[in-house]
Amino acid sequence: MEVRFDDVTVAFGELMALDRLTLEIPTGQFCAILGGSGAGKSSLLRCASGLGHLKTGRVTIDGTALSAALRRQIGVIPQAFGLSGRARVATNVMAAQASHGPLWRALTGRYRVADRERATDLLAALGLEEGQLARRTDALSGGQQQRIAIARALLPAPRLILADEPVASLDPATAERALTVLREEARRSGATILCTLHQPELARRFADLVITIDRGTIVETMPARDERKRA
Amino acid sequence: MTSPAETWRFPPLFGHRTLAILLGALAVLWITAQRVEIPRMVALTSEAVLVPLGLAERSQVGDGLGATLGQLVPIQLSTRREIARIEGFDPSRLPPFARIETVETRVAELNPDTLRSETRTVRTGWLVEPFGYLFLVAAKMLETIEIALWGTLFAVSIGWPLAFMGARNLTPHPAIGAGARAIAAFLRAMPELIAALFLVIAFGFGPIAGVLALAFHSAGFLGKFYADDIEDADPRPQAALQAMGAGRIATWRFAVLPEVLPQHIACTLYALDRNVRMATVIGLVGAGGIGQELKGRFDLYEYGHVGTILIAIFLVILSLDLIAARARRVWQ
Repeated sequence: MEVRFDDVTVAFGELMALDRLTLEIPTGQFCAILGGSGAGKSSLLRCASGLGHLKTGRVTIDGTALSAALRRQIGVIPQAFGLSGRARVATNVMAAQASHGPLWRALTGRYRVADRERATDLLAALGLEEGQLARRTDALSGGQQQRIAIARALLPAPRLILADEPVASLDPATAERALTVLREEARRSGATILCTLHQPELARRFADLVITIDRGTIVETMPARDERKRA
Repeated sequence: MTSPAETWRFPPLFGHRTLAILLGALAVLWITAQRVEIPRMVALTSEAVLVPLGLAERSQVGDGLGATLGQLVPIQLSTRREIARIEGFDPSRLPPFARIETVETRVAELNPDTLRSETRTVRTGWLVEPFGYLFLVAAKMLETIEIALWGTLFAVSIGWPLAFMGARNLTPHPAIGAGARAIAAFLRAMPELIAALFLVIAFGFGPIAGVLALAFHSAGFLGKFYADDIEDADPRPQAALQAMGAGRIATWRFAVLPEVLPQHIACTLYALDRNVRMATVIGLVGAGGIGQELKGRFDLYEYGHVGTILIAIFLVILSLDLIAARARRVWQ
């Protein structure tokens, strides 16, 4: 999916979170967004997922505005995970599947075997264990919860992945592992990734396109120099 | 852009506006206190407290309470019925713990032949069941609990859809939300006792009127409480699922229900607790259960029986509270 930001402004009172920002991310690209705290990274992602309050401009995905059908093809990894803390890990992961396929399956917990297997594959790839499936989500560490949020977003094989600091709570080795899973999954389904990061070296290693923003405007756009990712 | 830290102003804990609101509220309370006779209540109550301390001679409140409360004890446990009035009585098959007492009374009668007063002995048999009244109260109490249980079940099944439609974050349309909230408010505004009065006319004396009266009122307040819980739930899981295209039912099931389940259970258990208490009250107007018995005994000045009933109600509420506390611990 191709994502376009056209002259987008988002303001909180006097503070400009995004200031007349224009950006185009072609289909299938891993786009990393760098920038300090309060630079407007999260606002950018919120606009792409339709949660931002745009003062000017518009955001289009594949040339159209967000619709319910489009939303089903988007995987979202929120900064604060957006998991239901009291629910089990398995319930949280499978929640993404509720908008794909019949609702009664989700409500009765009778998921397709293929979906269940995909969920366990993803969780295992991200370094989680079977014993954690039945545990209450808020009993897990921040890093584990973050990976559950990643698995949930990837489960329905989305065409666009919006990841807000998806490795902020992970140690360097796990962060690499998670970003690898993210990139491999995106490659397999041809998905576009918009991912905010704090680590420039990770951005250069994993992304096709690195954008740096400051005070709501793009200060630098560059293709990633590291060619290892193309291997 | 940022000013030096030494020039920062620290916000006060509370401002003049809070203080003014507080003083205004106090002034309003002072006026209403006169209207509901709070000063007289304080005077009478302190008088009642001073009597047992020997600091006052007598108290109107103490005398009134003492006269009635004193009659509640000893509580009535047994029943005593005249055998001659029991239809098809079989002395060989007595109820458990029962015994027969024979009472001899000497009756003075005028003999019409001799025109003289003669005394003769009359024997009457009485069936005494030492715990008979206790069993009766237990049976009535069970009926009360059953009325409350069914009233609560119906209330949950009416209140849940009202909450789902009425909660601002799940409602399909603001107008539907306002409608659902209005229905909940209307149901809540109808007191059980008044509803029961009308329903007794419609359905006749007995538990049906009780079940429906409790169901309507508690559906109203459960609809409100459930909706408030749903609105207060953490919005972030909901936003995450909705951004991925989840519908309202899926959002409710996976992002709202896990968060609000403990509150829902606590509210429902409170509704049940309240309905058991209210079921005794609406029994007073003929809607079945222990209340009907209570009202009958009270009107006959049989305060011993009233005492038994009051203790039974207290014990049921207490055990319900213990069960509820355990249930809440399980679903924390």
